[in-house]
Amino acid sequence: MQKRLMVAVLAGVALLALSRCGTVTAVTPLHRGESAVAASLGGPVASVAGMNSPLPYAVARYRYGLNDQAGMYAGGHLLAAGLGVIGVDFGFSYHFLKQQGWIPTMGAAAGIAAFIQPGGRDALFPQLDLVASYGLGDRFTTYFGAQSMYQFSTKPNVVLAPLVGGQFEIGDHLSLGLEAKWYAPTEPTRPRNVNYTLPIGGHGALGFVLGVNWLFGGPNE
Amino acid sequence: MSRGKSDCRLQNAECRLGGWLLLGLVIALVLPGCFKLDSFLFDPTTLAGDYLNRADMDSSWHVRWIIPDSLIEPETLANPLNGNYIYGFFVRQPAGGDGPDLNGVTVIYNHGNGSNINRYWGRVELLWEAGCNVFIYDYEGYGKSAGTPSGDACYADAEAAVNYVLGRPDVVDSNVVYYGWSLGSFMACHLAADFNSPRCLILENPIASASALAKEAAVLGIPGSFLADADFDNEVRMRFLGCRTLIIYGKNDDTAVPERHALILLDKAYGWIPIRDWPVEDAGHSDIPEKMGYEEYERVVSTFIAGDSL
Repeated sequence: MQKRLMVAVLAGVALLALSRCGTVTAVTPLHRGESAVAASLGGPVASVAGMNSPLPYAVARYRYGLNDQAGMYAGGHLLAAGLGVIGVDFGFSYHFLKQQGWIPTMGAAAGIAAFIQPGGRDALFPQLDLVASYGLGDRFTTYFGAQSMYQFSTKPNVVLAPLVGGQFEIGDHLSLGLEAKWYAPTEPTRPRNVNYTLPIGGHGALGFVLGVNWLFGGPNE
Repeated sequence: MSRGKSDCRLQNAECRLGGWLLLGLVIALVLPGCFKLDSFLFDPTTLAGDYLNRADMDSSWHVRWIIPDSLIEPETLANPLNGNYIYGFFVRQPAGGDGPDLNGVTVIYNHGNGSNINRYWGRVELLWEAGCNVFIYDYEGYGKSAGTPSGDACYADAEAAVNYVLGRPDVVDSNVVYYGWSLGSFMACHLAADFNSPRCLILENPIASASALAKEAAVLGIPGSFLADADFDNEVRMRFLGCRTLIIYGKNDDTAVPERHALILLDKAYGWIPIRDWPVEDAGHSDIPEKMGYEEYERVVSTFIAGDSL
């Protein structure tokens, strides 16, 4: 029972990758009129065919700076498309603190992830991110925070994902990031039909997400 | 964070990376719906030779060879959906035997997702030893059955099995019982809820639904149809079973179907049908009779089928 069914379920997990998909939505604010295209790949670490690796969940996202503090975003969940499900998310971000000494840049992003099966069923999950970041030098930003996803028809109603990550700019437009995330820390890891191999204290699953951002437009163009 | 001046090499690297990203996006958009997961739900083993060949039997299947060959009738049935032939065995009680008397009860055994009839023959022996006639069949693509397993095909296979059993002159309609182990619980519940109400239904380590499988993994409530086209949803069917139902489950099931699935189904059934649960301490997914002891397993099953209180 276990082996093949687990493969199927893993694919299901890849559909949503637990509590939040992809890297955090908005680490630092965009400038007014500036755009960013981001892609991310990764998820909770699980054992698949005897090999431990992050589940390969892929998200592409577009962000636009409404002003120097607020922005909007829309994303597409690429692997979901492969499963015949339209997966999108959209929402707004707002950065309410700017880095000053030890005070970090802080921002929040709120939105909805929608998964729609043409001719079938759908699932909607409101989302909220909260992230604090420090710019270290000209090119590196480190950040920490939490993502959350909400579901009203089943328990747990709130699925959290605390995270820590870093972004490194390698050009005028391009930055790369790596994020470590503790998926679903309130949920016991086992017994469960997927073998998440990096639980923390017997709960949730540690995972890793790689991200790449491409900035264009705005005042720096 | 400020952005420094770029140089040509970085610009080229950026362009190349952007190109790869674009290519990945195109591939992802070109392939929508290509990854169907239903086939992963089934894990059949095909047979080139005969069924019940001792050389093919694994010792972990606990086959004791207690049923005389004269009481085993091989059958082939046509799947009403596509005409594919599926194989089965009807095992009858000896005439005038001195075994337990279940008044000619016939159990239709819907097996799990792995292997084929061979793997479940030890279970057939237990039900036969408990006093029942047993009909076990292979879904499409299992054993020597033709075709490829799918949700619709398996449901049609199960319906063909019921039609065959009810068509036998030695079977009384009101004495037919459906038994489903693991994936077979989908077929058993489908038969009871949608096709033909049985005397009673027995589910062993059942799967609640494809949605429950997804939620076990993802924590989020994802519709089962995202995972599979098969209409595998026992949660919905529980209230429509229309018969006494027994759910036997292991409390130490660490496979893809932990005890939570049984508890979900019990919760869905309460108040709608006469439901009885039988948790088995220390039992996993595949060893319930061994953990209970064969005598106790047969007592529980036969008592429930007889309609006596457990």
